[in-house]
Amino acid sequence: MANPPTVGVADGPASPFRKSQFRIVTTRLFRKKAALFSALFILLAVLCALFPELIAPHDPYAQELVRRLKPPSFMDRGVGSFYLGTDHLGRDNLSRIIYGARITLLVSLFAVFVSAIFGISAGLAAGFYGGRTDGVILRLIDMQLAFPVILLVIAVVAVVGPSLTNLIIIMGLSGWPRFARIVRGAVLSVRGLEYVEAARAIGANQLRVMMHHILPNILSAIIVYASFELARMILLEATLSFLGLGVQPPTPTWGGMISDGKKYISISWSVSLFPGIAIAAIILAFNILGDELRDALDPQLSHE
Amino acid sequence: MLQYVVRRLILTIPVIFGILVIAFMLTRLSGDPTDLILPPDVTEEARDAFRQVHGLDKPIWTQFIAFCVQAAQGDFGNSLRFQEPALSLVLERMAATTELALAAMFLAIAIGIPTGVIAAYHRNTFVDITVRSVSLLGQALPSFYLAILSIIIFAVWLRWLPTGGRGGFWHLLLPATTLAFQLVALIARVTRSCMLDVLGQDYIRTARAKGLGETTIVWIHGLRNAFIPVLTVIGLQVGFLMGGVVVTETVFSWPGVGRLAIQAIYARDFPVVQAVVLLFALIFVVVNLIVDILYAVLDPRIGYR
Amino acid sequence: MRKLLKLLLITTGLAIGSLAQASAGTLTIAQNFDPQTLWPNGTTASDNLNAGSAMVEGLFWQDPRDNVIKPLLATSWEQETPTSVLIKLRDGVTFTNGEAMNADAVVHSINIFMDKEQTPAYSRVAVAFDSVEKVDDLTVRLKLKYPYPPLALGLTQIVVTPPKYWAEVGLEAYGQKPIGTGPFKFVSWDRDDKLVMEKNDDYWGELPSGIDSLIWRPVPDDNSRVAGLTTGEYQVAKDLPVTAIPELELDSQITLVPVPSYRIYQIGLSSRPEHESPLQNKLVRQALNYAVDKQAIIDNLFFGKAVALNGQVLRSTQLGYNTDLKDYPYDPEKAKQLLAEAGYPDGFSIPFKFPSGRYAQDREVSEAVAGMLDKVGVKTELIALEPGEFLRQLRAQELAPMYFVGLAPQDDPAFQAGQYLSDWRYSPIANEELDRLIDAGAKEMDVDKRAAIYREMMELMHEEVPIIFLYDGIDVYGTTSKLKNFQPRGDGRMFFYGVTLEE
Repeated sequence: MANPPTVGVADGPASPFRKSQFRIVTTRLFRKKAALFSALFILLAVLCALFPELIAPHDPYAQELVRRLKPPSFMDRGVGSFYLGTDHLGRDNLSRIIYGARITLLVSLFAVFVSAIFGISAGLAAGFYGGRTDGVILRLIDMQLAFPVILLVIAVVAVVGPSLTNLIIIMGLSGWPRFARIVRGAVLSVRGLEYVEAARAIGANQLRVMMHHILPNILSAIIVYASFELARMILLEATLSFLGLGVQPPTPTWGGMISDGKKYISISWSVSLFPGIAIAAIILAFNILGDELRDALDPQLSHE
Repeated sequence: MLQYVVRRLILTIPVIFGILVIAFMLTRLSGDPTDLILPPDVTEEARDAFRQVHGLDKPIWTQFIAFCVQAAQGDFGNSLRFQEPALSLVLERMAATTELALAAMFLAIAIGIPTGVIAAYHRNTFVDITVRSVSLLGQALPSFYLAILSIIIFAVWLRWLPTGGRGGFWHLLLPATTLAFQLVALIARVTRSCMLDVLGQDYIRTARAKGLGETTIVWIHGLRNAFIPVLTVIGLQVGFLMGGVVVTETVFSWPGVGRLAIQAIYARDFPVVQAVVLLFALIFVVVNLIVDILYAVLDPRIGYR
Repeated sequence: MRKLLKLLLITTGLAIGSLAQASAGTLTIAQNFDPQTLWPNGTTASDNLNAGSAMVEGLFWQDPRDNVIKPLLATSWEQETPTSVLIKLRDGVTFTNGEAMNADAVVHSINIFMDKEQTPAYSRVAVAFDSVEKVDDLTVRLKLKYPYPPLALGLTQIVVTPPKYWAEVGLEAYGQKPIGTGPFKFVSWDRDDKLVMEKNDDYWGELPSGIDSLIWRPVPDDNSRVAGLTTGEYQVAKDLPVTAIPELELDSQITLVPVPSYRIYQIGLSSRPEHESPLQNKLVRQALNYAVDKQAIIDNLFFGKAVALNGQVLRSTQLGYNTDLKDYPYDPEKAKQLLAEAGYPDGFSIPFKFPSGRYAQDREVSEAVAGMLDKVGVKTELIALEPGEFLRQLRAQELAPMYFVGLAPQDDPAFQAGQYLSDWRYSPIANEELDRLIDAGAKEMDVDKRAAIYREMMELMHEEVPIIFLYDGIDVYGTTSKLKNFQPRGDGRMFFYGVTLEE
């Protein structure tokens, strides 16, 4: 192991390809408007997550029961600077959405990251080594997939308490088998290909073969899946809030806001609708970007 | 072939056993059900009697051994809430859940696959983006929210459909659609992705060169090859469906296993939780075994290892 | 804009035609849960009792219209000695399978009621019972272990089952298909879907008018119960979310029946020696009471429908209610001043646990309280608990020092007061004087003396403030406006005696 390979996943999707290739990919990617808009929206969400205090018009925690459930300011009974109305405790919806970006993104990104790390390692190991390793990992995957996530989460949260770290780990663990299965399948399909065989034949270190020859080939599949998992994690956090197990109040998250607001849907639709739009938009953005990235990375399509 | 199936079935035994162990541990860790099932002002003697009747007073490893011995005989003990055999409570509700899950899966496939194929064929055009955005919408909202919105629109405003309960086709429509919506996006995306791979392959070019019609190329040659990975994803979604029914059945008052499960979890009704977990695990394992067999049948490159 | 859209959608909808409505004479009732058993002595959950009691009746019942305990299968009871009671039974009543309702049936039923293995949920009452014997065909004698003031309430909880049928099928199967003396009898039950009953034409009393059959449906989601009531799928819906009140009030087809609940909401402030926190200081506990604006919570989060407590845990209709007591007024300045006096001029921070999804508006109320406390410098670390975990921690005393809870003991001051006894497993306080009053009240047979004891106890609690007094909860029922004289009770119980369903 003279030249230890970097762990491709940890470095993000950009690492496996060389500089010149990177430029080609990005130009091709951003030529597409949908991808550009998606990237801009994600950038906006990230800015909100990083500097909410600069962007938000109000304190997201400031309650005032007398001005609760106000409609957006552009509607009839709307109030001044509460552009998207107020929630059931009179807090500013817009400010809560802006602040909510932080924990929403943090939880979902880290949870996907945890799943991806576990899942990719397990999938690579299973696909590459085969035999008994494969058997054990497959059984573990089956066990995890067949186990209802909600039961798992309730029991674990009840024991360890619903802290942010715990949530991320538990949610992340619920997702690893999907990555593992996809990676394993992909490894199996490229394992027999000539260049991988050739690399093995010339005595390349096994880990090196995996990192340099197999991982880049299955990266597109992983990216597509990861973008999808991001969406799933945001929704899982919402469902956990619905069950009283999500991020603790009064910290705003988009999913938690929908779950709180759904009760008021008949008297104030704006409480749940705007965070709903935020979630829909970010999920759409992640997915479109994931798809475009996949197309841009795909070596076969690049010849067209 | 038969040997392969038998081998796979034997391999599921450790999986099922592992799941039972985890289910047992998790339920015990989550607290004493006595507090949840009896009212809070009950005397201490009555609590002890309740624990004794249900064997909750014994050390945990004694409970575990008793549980394993009984479970091996298909006996999960009596539900703590219902005083009836847990397994029969679950099986009683299985038909309703199966009906809902199958309907949802059928809808999801019927919408998802054609959507994915069309999106792939018209890649990066207006059609592609629109189709994908619309299919994503179902995936972009929490299912409980989507369910409530659909009840308000189709049952309360329009009065087209009932708000809940099990009955004929009309009762099934809303819950199945809500559940399917969550799957459509995934199936469409995977189909699109696989179709793109397939459409770039040499044999598709060959087919084109031979002058075959586009329809034949896309729907017969293309889809047939893209279908294999799509099938795997669908198989894996059985687990998702089982989770999805929990929320859907609750909001639509559907008398199925998911609703029983969530109430059992809340009440720490261990025998019912364990029976549900086992049943879901069995279904998952069997469906995926079938998928794997189909996989092997459809793709001769994969042998029966 | 929404109205326009709604109108548009409705007009399109009309073209397609609306769904079949319930047939006349059928009352479809939506509750949260499907009954676990239809034998009312099997559990204390109101959803079970409501369905079961339509078929299986008790000796007496407490009429929510006037809170008077009235005869059903018994006609009267008299206290022979402080520990012996003679119960006279109604003549000529038969069970729907033809068995006679007589002293044998009642002795059989009370014996089951006293067995803690068969009726653990009622052990709190049954523990005072010693034995029961038949005097003649229509009289039984119940012996008590000690004088028991809430006896009348206890007698309303005993239901009468037919001994032969019981012996034939056993407890479990009886709960699946009960036979009783009630105004309705069992027809069919699809678990978790619907339970059907039809009227008992041989009923000994007066049947509810216009109701031929009852259908009970479990509808766990709040929004769905509201939706089904609006569309006319359900004629009665229990436990409606308070957030639906403004919209439902506008619907002329629907009558809303808000019922003050037996559940008293409070924030426990533990001063028990083992729970070290600033709450040990009485001034701090009083300060927190001044810091919370209860009326704002009632007006905004409950649309004015919850009831203020007036600084005590007994309700105004209960024995021992102290009319001299008033709520701590909302006064943040006073709160700050008391905190400074107690040595916390800059406030302090403290964990605050609450259930999410167990009580109506639990999360909202807790967040609102936290916001109010924040304004006087008390920073709360909010910890939301899944309902099952919440109950576990409540019983294990892990919620302390500060937690939101709604306690709904049975309708006798002894049960409400008993929650603050030092050796009660989740009492937030250990106070000898309080204990003395609670014990005295639980034993005192003279009504006036008893009331005086509880009034004194309420005064002491008001001074010692083991809790932040919040509000008396509200249960909201919705019915079709054709249903008349329907009055549920504060413990979630609904009855059909004297009810009319108009054509």
